[in-house]
Amino acid sequence: METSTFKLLCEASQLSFTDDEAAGFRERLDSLIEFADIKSISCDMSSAIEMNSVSLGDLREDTALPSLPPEKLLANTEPLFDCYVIPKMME
Amino acid sequence: MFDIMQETVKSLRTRLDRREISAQELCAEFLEVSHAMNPDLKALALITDDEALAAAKKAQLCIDKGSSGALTGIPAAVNDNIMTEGIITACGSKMLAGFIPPYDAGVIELLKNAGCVLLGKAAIDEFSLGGSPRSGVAVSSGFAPYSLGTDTGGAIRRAAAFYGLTGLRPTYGRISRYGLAAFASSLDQIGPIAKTAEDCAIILNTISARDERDATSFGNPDSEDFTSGINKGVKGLRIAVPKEFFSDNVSDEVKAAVLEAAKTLEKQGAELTDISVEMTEYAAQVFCIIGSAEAASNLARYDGVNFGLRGEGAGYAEQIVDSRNRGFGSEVKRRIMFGNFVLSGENYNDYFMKAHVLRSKIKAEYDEIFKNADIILTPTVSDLSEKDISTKRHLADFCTVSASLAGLPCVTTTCGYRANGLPVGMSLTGRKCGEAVILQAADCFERIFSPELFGQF
Amino acid sequence: MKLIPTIGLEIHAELMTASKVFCSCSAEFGGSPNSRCCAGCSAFPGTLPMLNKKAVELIIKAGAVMNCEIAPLTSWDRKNYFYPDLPKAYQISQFNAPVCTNGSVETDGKKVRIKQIHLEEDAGKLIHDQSSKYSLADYNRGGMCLIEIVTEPDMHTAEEACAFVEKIRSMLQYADVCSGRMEQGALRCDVNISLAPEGAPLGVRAEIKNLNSVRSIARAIEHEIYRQTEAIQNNQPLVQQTRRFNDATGETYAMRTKENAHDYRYFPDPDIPALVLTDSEIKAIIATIPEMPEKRYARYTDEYGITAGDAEILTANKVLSNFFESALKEYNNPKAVCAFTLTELLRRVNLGEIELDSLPFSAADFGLLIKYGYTDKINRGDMKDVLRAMIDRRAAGGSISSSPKDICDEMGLFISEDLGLVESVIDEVIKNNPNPVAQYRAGEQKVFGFLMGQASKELKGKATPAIIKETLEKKLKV
Repeated sequence: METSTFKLLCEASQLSFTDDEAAGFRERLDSLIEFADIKSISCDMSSAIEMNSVSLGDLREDTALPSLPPEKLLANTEPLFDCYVIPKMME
Repeated sequence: MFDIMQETVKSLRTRLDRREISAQELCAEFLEVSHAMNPDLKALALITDDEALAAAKKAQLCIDKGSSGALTGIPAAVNDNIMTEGIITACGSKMLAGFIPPYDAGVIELLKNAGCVLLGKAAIDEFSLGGSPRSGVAVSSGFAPYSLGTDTGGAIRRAAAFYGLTGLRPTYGRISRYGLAAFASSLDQIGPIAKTAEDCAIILNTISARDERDATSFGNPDSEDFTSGINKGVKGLRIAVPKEFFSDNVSDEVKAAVLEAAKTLEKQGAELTDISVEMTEYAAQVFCIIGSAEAASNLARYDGVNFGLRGEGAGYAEQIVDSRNRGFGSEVKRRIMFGNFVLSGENYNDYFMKAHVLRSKIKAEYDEIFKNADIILTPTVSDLSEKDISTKRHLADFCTVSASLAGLPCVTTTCGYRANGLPVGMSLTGRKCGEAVILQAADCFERIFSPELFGQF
Repeated sequence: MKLIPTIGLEIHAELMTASKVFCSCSAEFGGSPNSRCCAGCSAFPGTLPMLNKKAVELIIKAGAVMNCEIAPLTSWDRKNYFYPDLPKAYQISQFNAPVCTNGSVETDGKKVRIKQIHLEEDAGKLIHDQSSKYSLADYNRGGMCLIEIVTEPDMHTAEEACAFVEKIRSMLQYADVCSGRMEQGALRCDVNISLAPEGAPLGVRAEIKNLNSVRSIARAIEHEIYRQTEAIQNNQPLVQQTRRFNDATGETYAMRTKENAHDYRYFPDPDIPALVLTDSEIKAIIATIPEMPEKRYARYTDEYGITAGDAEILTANKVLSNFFESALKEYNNPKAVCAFTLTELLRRVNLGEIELDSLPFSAADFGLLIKYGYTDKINRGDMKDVLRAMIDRRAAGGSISSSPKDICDEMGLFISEDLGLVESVIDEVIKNNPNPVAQYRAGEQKVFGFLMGQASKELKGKATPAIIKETLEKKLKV
């Protein structure tokens, strides 16, 4: 694949690779893309796609239930003022 | 004293209820085996002695009161991608090393309510993506009489095939996915890995329930007893044998063993028909595309902000990339990148949409087959070399992924052995909600092929 | 070269549900950080979305009042992007099959087409503290039920856009779909705007994100028209971009994020089954929509005899209209209640003394006060002062009663029904003013006013002018 495509995928995946890593990785990624190429298989694209479906009565009733206590919710991180901490964001 | 390695869920139930052994003693014995062998086998990511013994004590009280259920006091291991409250659930990933979920998965609640004794968390490949058979080790090595595995493209069934066990992937929706760390949402299912089809049926009876926290789950709306076909033979069952699954892609040893098993079932009164299916040709590709796309999205939440490995970096952008670079293994990264590839721009139609249409065709083809058949019999793995599968077939074997894509129940049981002594597995795929029938056929075969499993009880 | 602005809006409205759209956490506004969050809306592994039934009912109501088609099969998609206010790194939204499509809303005789309305989840909130090197994430708002109303580019001025937003706000309030409280972010607006010469194809468009008051919508559009006009006239190329509005400077500015380059990689969410809606289900939901402003307007003008202008003001805001109707329950005199509402109540609201959404008195007390004035329990001229006291006493807090009855009692405003008192006061006035009395009796009518004034001074707040006049005339005839 083109380097520009690879870069876009890295951006979409929020991953990065050193040049050394990238070489082998791209090769394996390309082989996967090659393997999964189904363009040549002919099929009627307009045919209906089967979907799981439910009706209105299956949906959750609008009742508020207690939330998770913050100390449990935040136990797997180091919070500040009960908030998750991230590096300073700018718009 | 009996050998716990040989015991089934069924036989242990009898021994516990007859007070031949207490739940605590049983738990201690399994823990001893686990501690002795785990350093070498690394079958369990975590052994939870204290919790297990406490659960065993509680279970014994139920047994003493005469209020035990089918699984009360019987130990089990569960895959490490199934959330257990207060117990590390790392999903086989550096990303979640040390992650302690604040909640139990739906199946864990059901097992706990049933008085089950959880011994620990079964080690898995990262987010169970590879469909590797690792989760079978705990059962085959006697750490536990059964385990709960997870099956996206065939992990449960492949585990059963590699380790000579019985593994059931239930119909999609039979079992709640609440608390199963999602890899590919439309393909993931939890299921039992045990020694017999009967055990799988017993376990399914307990863990199949609609969960108000999983909109795709429907459970067991007819309160079906999945053991209803046990010990009933196969007379009159129509078994379809698709020729595509016995092509050159499958080793001769596997082919011979599965076809021999078909004959055995025929002798027991099943009707065999040769059929042809077109879908095998592209099932693995379709699986790979849909599975990766869903995985790329499902795994996007791992950014180190509210849990998991937290990377370093001056800004959010740098930190999140560092978290993911360090937290994910190479194969997971490849799947994420590929998943985003098939969802991007024009690839969406060429890959993702097309795969969806083909998936519908696969379902339609299965529906058609099941108009005239009750079971489809195929090999479980095309070849016994794990290495071959990972290089040639990518991710999953065409033998197992079709049932995953169609959301159908599929049980694997041992049907022979190769010259080198390794087992061969066969897969019995059923129609939607047809678990009882495929378990019936698997059970019939097991009673002939492995009579030792049915010993004295 | 005359440049014509073309404006389309995306309005985000928070639905009035008790719980969030995909989990059972409370959907109340505010709360201490992360106190209204569970494993689900915090994106913990293994958690799954469970669609809120009420949210579906409310978006159907919104669609119905905006004349939309309601889809018999609707589904949810994942919009994938990384941002720390979105813990799953995808927003569950509707891309392929939104609940509502092809609607239209008329404002001031102009029709604005509604392209679609879809249901989605809100994002969390980031807190940026200037002094800190961190930003903080609070997911309380994350997962709240949002509908996004997408219009076609059918507006051309800031006034039209604002009128449309006001209209939508009023409709959503009336249908009990959204509180419309923009100051709480319950209604937010993205503006798409481009300029082009008349008859030419549409120009390069800018999207101004997240405007949360009608005033800032107007200002942002005005500034953007100015900015784009300048650029076009100076031959500076415009780029399609996402911008923000700075309330302090009144200007828009380009966002730093690479939002414009985003490919959201939408795909159907495998965790949420598609929803099949039957005709009868849709009809049953639509049947529960409360009376809309047009109907109220007709009732006010036809039944109550309120003037068209007054009825329009009363019905423009559901909170006001509801208040008016509740006051009527206490005192069923629509014209009187309307008059006092539009003059005294709105005057104080416009002065910023009180807020319609949180009035310091009940509609019943308000109605009672008007009843006192219009049934001669107090002088009408005193009504204003009583209302003032009702506001002040509540503001002062404490245990002093702010009910109109207690206030009138304390201020001695109730008019006495005691005729004996009136007669004795008037007897006294006659006795003390022999000369005017004699003049009157001699046929000099104009001194009556003087005597009336004397009596009224003594009887202020204790008898109505009518009684005083009647008694005085009677006594003077003797």
